Amino acid sequence: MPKKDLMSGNLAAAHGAKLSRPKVIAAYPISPSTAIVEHLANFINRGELKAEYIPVESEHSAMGVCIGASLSGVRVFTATASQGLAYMHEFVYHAHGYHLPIVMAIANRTLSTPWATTCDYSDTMAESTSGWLQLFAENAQEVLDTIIQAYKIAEDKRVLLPAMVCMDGFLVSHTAENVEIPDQEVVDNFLPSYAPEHFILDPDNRMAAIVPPRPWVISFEHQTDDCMDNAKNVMKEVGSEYGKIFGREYGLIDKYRCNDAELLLMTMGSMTGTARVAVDELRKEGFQAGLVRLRSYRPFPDEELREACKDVKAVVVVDRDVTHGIGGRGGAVFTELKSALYNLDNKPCLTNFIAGLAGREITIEHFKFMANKTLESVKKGTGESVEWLDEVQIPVTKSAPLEKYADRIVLPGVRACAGCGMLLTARHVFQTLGKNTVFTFIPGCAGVTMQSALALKPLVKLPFAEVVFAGTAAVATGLRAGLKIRGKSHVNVVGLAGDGGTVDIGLQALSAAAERGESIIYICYDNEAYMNTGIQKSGSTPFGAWTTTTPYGARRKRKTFRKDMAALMAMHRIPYVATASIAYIPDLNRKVSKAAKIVAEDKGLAYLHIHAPCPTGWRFATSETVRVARLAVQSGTWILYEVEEGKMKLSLKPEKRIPVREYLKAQGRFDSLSDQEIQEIQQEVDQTWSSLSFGQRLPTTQTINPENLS
Amino acid sequence: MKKLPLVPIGTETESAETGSWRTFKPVVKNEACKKCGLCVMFCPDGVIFRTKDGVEIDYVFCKGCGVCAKECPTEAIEMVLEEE
Repeated sequence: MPKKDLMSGNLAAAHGAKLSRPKVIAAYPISPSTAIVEHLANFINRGELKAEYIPVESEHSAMGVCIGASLSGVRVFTATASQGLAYMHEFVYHAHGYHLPIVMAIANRTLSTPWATTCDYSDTMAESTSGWLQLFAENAQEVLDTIIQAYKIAEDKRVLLPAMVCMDGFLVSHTAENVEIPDQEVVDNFLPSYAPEHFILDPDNRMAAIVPPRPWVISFEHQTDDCMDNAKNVMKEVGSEYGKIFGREYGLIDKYRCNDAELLLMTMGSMTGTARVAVDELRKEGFQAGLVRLRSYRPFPDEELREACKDVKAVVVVDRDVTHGIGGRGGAVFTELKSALYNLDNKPCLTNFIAGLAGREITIEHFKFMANKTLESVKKGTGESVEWLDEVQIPVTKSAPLEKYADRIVLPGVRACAGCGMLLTARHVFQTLGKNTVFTFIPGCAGVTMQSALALKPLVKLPFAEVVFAGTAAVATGLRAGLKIRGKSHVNVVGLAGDGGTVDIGLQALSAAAERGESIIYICYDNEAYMNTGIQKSGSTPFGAWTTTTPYGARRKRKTFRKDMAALMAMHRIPYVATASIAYIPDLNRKVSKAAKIVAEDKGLAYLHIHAPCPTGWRFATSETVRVARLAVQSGTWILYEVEEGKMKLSLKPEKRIPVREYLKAQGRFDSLSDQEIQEIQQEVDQTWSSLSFGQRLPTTQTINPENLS
Repeated sequence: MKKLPLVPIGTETESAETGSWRTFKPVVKNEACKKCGLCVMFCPDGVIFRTKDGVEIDYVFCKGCGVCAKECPTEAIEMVLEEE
């Protein structure tokens, strides 16, 4: 018997994926889709799903893992949104030509800039020519149902294309609804396991994908386009079969009160529910209104839309997106609908409203307003028009009293959690650097909380811009280069990022900036996981730590070690590398000053790696932040040192190191560690300390004796 | 419609209170304060100030995390449950 449960769109997506039995899942956090892969981690942890779960270091790799796994011949799943989808872009395109039926859930979100974490379709519209199917669900039930169908459609031999299952970020992804979970056996009968014949990498069935003769490329694309066209019928077949088995039938479009309609509202996603109510109200008021919802955006259901629009007077297209520079202006759906209706004899009057960008509400009143405006156009015969529902009210705000903070760089009122280690770090770093500083940061804890408390009123008295997750060091490099040309070499250029933005997704740009000798100050505040998105494992998460993507503790089949980022940076032989801790502020500030001095002398990159405990993610009381940081140093788990011009120097040597257990037990995230594991961690710390050779130059390629390499 | 700047920039710094977040309020007993300044240094939000007699907390912004009370070597700060 199918079960019913109250759940969010994200949990429904996870259930849809689980029921489809993917064998490999790639996980990388990004709002608002993060919870999908968190739920899947829980399913696996509880033994409800058997799959390889791979918490990767970037969305680029998430799609890379999916492509590799799909090439190995198994069913795969991942989820993302917005910037994450954009960061995948080249791999997204890559999937269509290999005809890999990957299914990816998307919680639609604005693609920056301006920044927003809320819903519009700018992210998936940017991938609308990528050869992926794009199905837009209206609610959580449809998300679950569509993921199961998406595998069946994508894996159909007439299609063999990857598929995105899209839901409105927050509006669906975070809203609880009553959802029916079908029985696993019934889903298994509907969706047999994936058995590819067209392409697989396996020595037992040798195939190799090669760069084709150049003139053939056009033909391969032609075939892909035929597959996309075939998908229309396959979608209808699958949607109809799903309806027979599970009681909920799906098509390419979804019609409401269209039979005798003179005016149609055209929608996508969750706005449709509101539009239905508007249609009912308009009908009560004497308008013959109807509604068409696009469920499939790729392929675009042109035939169905021609049929639906052929006898109506007007169509109101509501676009939660905009295509900048498109002919005639307007949104993507509007433009494609115009193209689809081109050959109709009696074309309806079309109006387009750009609405709901970045999650702005679209109300019943809005729909009625749009319908009335359109009917006026029909009467006046003014023809097609594009309007924006974008009235802005600038609030009159009153600042909290700031007289006491006249000399402060970072003002109070930052929306970081109480007891935040990042904030303590950033506050001292910027105060030490002073006003002659420009900085860039990314959507981590600092980027999200430190910008402003009131609209367009910065909280940091420095020039700054938030940039994309992988880009801290690259943007800082450009800033430094431009300022230098403008005769402003004396300005401190700072890149500020957390551990995820540094040791994972930002590593490439940082490593290159270090190697090129860019004179920038790079600050990593290390809270040992992706905290802004809600505690997901990063490359800095220590062995055995609980996170939402490592519910079993940060370990897989074997023991792994967090990246030793400061050592890695030291191996770049940059002029200055230092570790610091929020429990030792004078030491931290001294190191910040030193970094500024080295950069001012244009010697190259200065890197500071600062241990910044997080009460929310590490599971300790907010009052313990500094104490936990101190225990890390006193136990020798976190070592304070500097590497200046290749020479290592210990900043602080604990008189007698306290047991590592005291540090681990002060936090809830290590609860799953066994006594033996704690003992092993202790041994590692002891070993590290006994092998430390401070004052020595780091080994370089020149000093390694080739005779010892055998 | 009021015209917005081309880019969402801000120049004028202003803030909003975060004091309403508090569940516990740090109360300073200045008679026990040794003026070491650790609370001033370790306050994540930087809302503790030195005074002639000891320290003073800006309750407009204090989130009540309790780091100050925890770090105070003379237990001169006590966390007290906020009343309505």
